[in-house]
Amino acid sequence: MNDTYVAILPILISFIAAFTIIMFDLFLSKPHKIIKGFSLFFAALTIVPAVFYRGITTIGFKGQIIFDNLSYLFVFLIALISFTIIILGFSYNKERKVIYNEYYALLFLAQAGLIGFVSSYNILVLFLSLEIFSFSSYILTGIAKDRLSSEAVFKYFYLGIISSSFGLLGLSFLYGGSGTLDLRIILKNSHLNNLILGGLLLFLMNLFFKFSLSPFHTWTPDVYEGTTTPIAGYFSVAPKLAIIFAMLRIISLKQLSGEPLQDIIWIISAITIIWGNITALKQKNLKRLMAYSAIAHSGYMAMGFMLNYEFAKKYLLFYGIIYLFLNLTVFTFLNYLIKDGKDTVNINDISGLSSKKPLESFVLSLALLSLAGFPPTIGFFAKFYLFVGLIKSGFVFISLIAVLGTLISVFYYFRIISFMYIKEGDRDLIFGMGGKLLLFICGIMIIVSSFYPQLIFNFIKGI
Amino acid sequence: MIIVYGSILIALFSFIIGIAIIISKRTLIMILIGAEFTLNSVNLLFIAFSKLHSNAIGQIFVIFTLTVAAIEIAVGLSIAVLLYRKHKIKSIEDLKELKR
Repeated sequence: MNDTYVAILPILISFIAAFTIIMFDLFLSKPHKIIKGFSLFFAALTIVPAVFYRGITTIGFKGQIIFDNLSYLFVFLIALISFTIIILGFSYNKERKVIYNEYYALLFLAQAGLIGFVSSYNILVLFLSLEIFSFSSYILTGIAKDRLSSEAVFKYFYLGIISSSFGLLGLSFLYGGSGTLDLRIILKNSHLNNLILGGLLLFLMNLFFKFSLSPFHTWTPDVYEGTTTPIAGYFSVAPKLAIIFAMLRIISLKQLSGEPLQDIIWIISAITIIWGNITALKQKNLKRLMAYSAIAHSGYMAMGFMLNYEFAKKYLLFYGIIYLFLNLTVFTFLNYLIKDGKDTVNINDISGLSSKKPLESFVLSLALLSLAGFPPTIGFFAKFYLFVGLIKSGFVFISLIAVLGTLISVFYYFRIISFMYIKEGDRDLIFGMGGKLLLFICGIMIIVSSFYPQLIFNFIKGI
Repeated sequence: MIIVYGSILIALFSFIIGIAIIISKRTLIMILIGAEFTLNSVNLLFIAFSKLHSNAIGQIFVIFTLTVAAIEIAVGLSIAVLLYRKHKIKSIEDLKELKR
């Protein structure tokens, strides 16, 4: 279907949401309550085109914006993420006194950027939408304006501008090597020349920075620790999911295995798995620990970039969606670890919590067991299918490294669970209505999908 | 043709200079100037490639890159002002809280 306005509907809704919220903030006398309601409404509204137009391919702006099943699946997931983060922000921001209405507007701008990023083959659109996401995320990182988050935003901005400069240089090489901006034409040749290969490498490095793979991961722990917890949760899922989808688009054009790029991805993912898992072992701060866990999981997902498209769209996407739900569960829990306007995310702060809050602790342990890949849970199936796909494609040694990394990761996930169940403590938490509901839904999803992983395969089948 | 290859070389050289400025300077404003340097050298590269392929797409890209550079300066300056006014941080060496 060739209809520009239908095609850009999800992006348009996000932009309209952002500007409406900014206008409300300017012109209403007490805008906070109305903006809260509106942001939830707009996050829900973004799901509507994803459900309504699923199965139809719409093309806008003469083929520069393409909304097919892959994009609509991403729109669905990113709208769920925004919805969750907005709900988490309600209680957290009130407690920490981060009452700025730009928070919601910037979330929608970031969402618009990510949706544009996964639904185009044009490198100009890719660059601009990635930059829209980046600049929104810089401001979101520093929105608390205290010492730690200011430091985090500076480190993120400093490394981010370097990486996006190199990414832009890569895009100029892609243009210089081919004379066009369309990735479908640039990557069409079976043998890529050196300029295009170098450009693709530099562009992928920019993506890997956002994906926090190992030589480029150094911003991740600082930003997760410094910024507010809902935003840390947003960074741990949204850009990663977007980059998985964008990489699927690149893989569908050009299989990366067999290229010189394959060795680079091999080495980077191996380093990431080992470094992320080993450094996570000594962390005491739970947000920092989850940052290193996120780095390790990026390593597992980066292995999937070496698969061919048939395998990647099944196993890599499955892993990404499972990781999304598990990480959102953990960050929903961490969101309520706050007292007197300060994060209390040290590992001692959750000791003995299982006697006070048995149900919530159970859901958290379930999510952590899944992240560790413990056999009966859904996280095990995610890792199992990914490793099977890798071994089928002939990547045996890196699968062994990944299994080793998984074994290391069991230690630190179990340490959190043992603090909750074995140690004594008198700390009690207050989970608001939204937190209880989210944890309940996530717990149900983890349990149901553990017994029927086929459900998620059916969900992503039409890609 | 010589002017095209000459400007490609100049662009790559000034990109390296920009990265060197970002890495070596310690104050926030100088880092922003370095970032501007890199973006503008990529602009020159785009124009040179546009001349090489004799189509105008690269020059269109430059207009968008200039917009992005403006946003980058806006966000970067606001971060620098926040760090200086609220926390009295002038250089990178003061950023040591988040290191464990």
